[in-house]
Parts: sequence; structure tokens; C-alpha cells
Amino acid sequence: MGRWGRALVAAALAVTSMVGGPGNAAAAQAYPGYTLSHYVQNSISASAFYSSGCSQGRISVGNGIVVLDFGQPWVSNGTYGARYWYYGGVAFLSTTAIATYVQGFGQGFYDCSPATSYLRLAVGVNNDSGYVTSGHGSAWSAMVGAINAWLVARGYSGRVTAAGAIDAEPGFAARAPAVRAWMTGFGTSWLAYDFGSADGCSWTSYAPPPGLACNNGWRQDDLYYLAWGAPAGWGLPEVYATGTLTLPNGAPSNWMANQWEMVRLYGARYGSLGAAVIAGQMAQTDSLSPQTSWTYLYNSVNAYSPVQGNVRWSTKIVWGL
Amino acid sequence: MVDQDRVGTLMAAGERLRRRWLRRLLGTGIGALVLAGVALTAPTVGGQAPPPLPAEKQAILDRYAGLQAQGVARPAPVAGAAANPYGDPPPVPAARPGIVAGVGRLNGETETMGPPGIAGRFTNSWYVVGPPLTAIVWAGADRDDTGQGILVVSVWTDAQATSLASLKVLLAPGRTGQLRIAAASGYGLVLVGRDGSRLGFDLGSMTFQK
Repeated sequence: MGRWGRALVAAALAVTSMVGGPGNAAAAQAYPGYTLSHYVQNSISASAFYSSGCSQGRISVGNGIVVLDFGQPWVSNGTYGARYWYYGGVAFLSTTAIATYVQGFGQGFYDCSPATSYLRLAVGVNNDSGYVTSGHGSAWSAMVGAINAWLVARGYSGRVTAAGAIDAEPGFAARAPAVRAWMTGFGTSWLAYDFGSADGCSWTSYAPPPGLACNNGWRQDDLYYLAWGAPAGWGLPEVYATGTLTLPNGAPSNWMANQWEMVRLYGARYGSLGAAVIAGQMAQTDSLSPQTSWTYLYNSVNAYSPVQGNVRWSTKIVWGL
Repeated sequence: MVDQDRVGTLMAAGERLRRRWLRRLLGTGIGALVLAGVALTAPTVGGQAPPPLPAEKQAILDRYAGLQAQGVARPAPVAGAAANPYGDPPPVPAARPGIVAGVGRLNGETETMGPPGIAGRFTNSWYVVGPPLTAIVWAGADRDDTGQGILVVSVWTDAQATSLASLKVLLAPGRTGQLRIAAASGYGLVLVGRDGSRLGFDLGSMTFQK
């Protein structure tokens, strides 16, 4: 989302109850603490991933999620993988190489965290390429399966398990049908977290299928599918806008959080799997604090009926390991 | 509209599957640990039990609970923080040969990937690998105001440049339009705007020079 979009909502807005009355407030949940997720970049190595996992283990919040974002889905010489941020340019990594790095991170977490801790390690790409396809989703899921098999074989899976993830954004190159195909191709074996934004979607309302329009031809139904409607999909939305709005129950939030709330409510009314359960929130560097970001999302998903209740996870994505 | 009957059937099926699976695990003597694992993935809602998950989703969570149970049953010994089995990081940069310390390189327009999380349109980028410093500079424009040229700069003091770093967004003076890095000398860059204007940028002082 751009600067002007943020400026438009910098003033506090009272969101009217276009979507029905306020929900019953659940007992307040304590902030769960946040993990650090990572945009993978530059001179990576298994050693660096191990060290980063170890660092996360030392500051473990007990039960958390970490997303490792490897950039653009890509295919090179018939091999599936991703192009990650390499000194302002790009470098290709096969799914085999990515699995090795992710395993290093998981091993580091295991070695350095308290025995009571647990980490869901989500291996991510975005939808900013022409290789966002069902085939890539399937290959990504197979990679996640291979990582989990390794974690089990090495005895780490009691405290670390792997999932897929996609930074699905209407503003990126691949349009909604391609991203839906990626998620469908990912299948039903493992979880795939959608840590994208809902660019251009309504933050005050929803409509019958396919829902209200978002940017670039996306509809609310597309966001719902990626974050819940697909068996593997689970929402972990980005909430980093600094503008605020006031919810019907008087609680503070912002438009990014409420865009996802409208998607969640769209699911409650029209979705094949009912109201989406938002797994957590992702903040970014140089923006809202993770706790504020989480609080906004928590407030939004508990401001309208049916309320969600707890929001399990909070993470902040940073540039580098 | 939601087909409530179908949802109800699916939920019931999921609950049956979950219970059957847990009964099996209880028989192995690790049920309590599995239950703890399931609790990790099925939060209470404000003190109330959440509604059952759709069967498709519960089946996936059950698979994760199974992984956790296997890990709990056969945990690896903890090696400890000092036991990085992968040794020191490889020489810089790991993925591409021919980099000379302190000599910058320009990424062409087709090989540039913009910095994540920054709402911009990026033309190309330049980087230098230290010592003394490792830096990346992207040139482009504000995504929503393409008349506003921007640079995004990331600087590290470690040569690996894998550690955490901030992305600093700098607004070019004037209305240059989208910027392109045309040339570099040392830590100084020559920028050309979409309007044809030329600007200098000094990485050391992080300032534009007209």
C-alpha cells in the first residue's frame, strides 16, 4: 500500500456497522510476544541459517511462527525453486537447496531453545513472478514434506515443524487465478500461510460471491480462498499501515487489519469453510510495532460477529537473517 | 450461502478422525504430549472452546500433531548453542564468483529485484561488498507518485550481509521522475532521472549532490 493510501486513513475513521452489529467481546488475550521472520537475502549459507535459528531459539516466545521468505517462485532448467534477493539482484535456489537451509534454521532453533518451545517454520515465496503455478505449488509442498521428514528423522519435530507460505498480494505480478492455482497445487498435506496484504479491498464491508473488488481484478473471495477456503490456507496477514480507525466497539485498529476482517466475515457469510481463523499477524521493520500490529488485528477480528477470539501468533518480518 | 449441513458433516467427520487418532496415540503412552501439541494448534477463544475446524483443516493439523508426537517420542539430543555443525560461513559472496572487495557492481534492469516491503518502482540497483562496508542501493520512484525519485539504501558492516539490516528510503530533490543508476565511482553514484536530469549520490554521507 502506498503513502497516499496510508495518508487517507491517517485521520481516525469511525467504521459504521455496515456489516452488522459489533460482536461480543471475548475476554482479552494477552499479547503472545513476537518472533522474527526473514526476507532471505545476500550471501546465505547453512551456517548463517543455523545461527539465525539459534538466535530465534534464545528469544523463543514459547510457541511461535517464523516465515523465511525466499522471494519469487521460479523454475530454472526445469528445476523448481525461488529467486531470492541477492545484492539488489536475484539468485536462484532450487527447492532442494532451500530445504537444506530451512533444516539448518530448524536445527539451530532446536539446539538453542527451551525444551518447552515450539516453532512452526513457514517457508515462503511471493506471487511476483510468472512461475506462480499449480506445478510450483505442488513442488513447494513436496519440499515442505521433505523438510518435515528430515525433522522427524533427526528427532527435531517435537519442537519444529515446517509449513509453506506465500506473500500473496494483489499488487504483485501474478493475478488471482494463478495464485489460487498455486494454493490448490500445494494440496492438502501441509499448511500454507498467506502472509500477504489485501491491497485495495474494502475495510468496511463485503458482498456476495465473489465479494467486493480489490486491486488488479482480485476479489474478496480470492483472499478468502488463500487464507482459509483452500484446505492448506491459513491467514497470517501483513498489518503495518500507520493510519488508524475506530471500530464499532470503540477499539482502535487500522485499515489493513480491517480489510482482512471483512474477508473473514465474507467467509462467515458465504465461504465454503465458514469464517476464516486468522493465525496471526505480520509486522514489518520501520512501521508499526509488532504488538500494535497484533492488537489492531486482534481488535478487528473481535469487533464483529462472529468474533474470532484468540489470535495465536505475532511475527515481524525483517530484511536479512 | 454456507451449506450448514455440509459444514456440520465435515466438522463431525473431522472430530471423529481426531478422536480416533488420539486414542491410538494414547495407547502408545505419549497421548498427553500429543494433547499438549494439539492444544498448541487449537486455541481457546476468550475462555470458550472454539468451534470445530473444518475436517480438511483438522486433518492437516492432525498430521502436524503426529509429527510432534514422533519428535517427542524420539527427541534428538540437544547439541547446544555453540555447536553450529555447519562451521563458518563460506567466503563472500557465496553464490556468485568474481566479486572484488570494495569495487561496486551494477545490476541491470532485467536482473534487479526491488527491496521487499517498499512501495516503489525500481529501475536498477548497485552493490558493493566490503570491507569496509557492504551496501545495496536501489534506484526508482515512489509507486504512487512516479514523479518522486527515490533511492533505497541498505548498509552492513559485516561482509556476509546476511544479518539484519534496515532499508533506508531517500527522496531525491526535485521532480526528477524515476531514477536510474547510470554509473559509479568508488562510493559515489551518478543518477539520471526520467526527466533527463543528473544527480550525484554519495554513499558515505548518504546525501544527494546536484
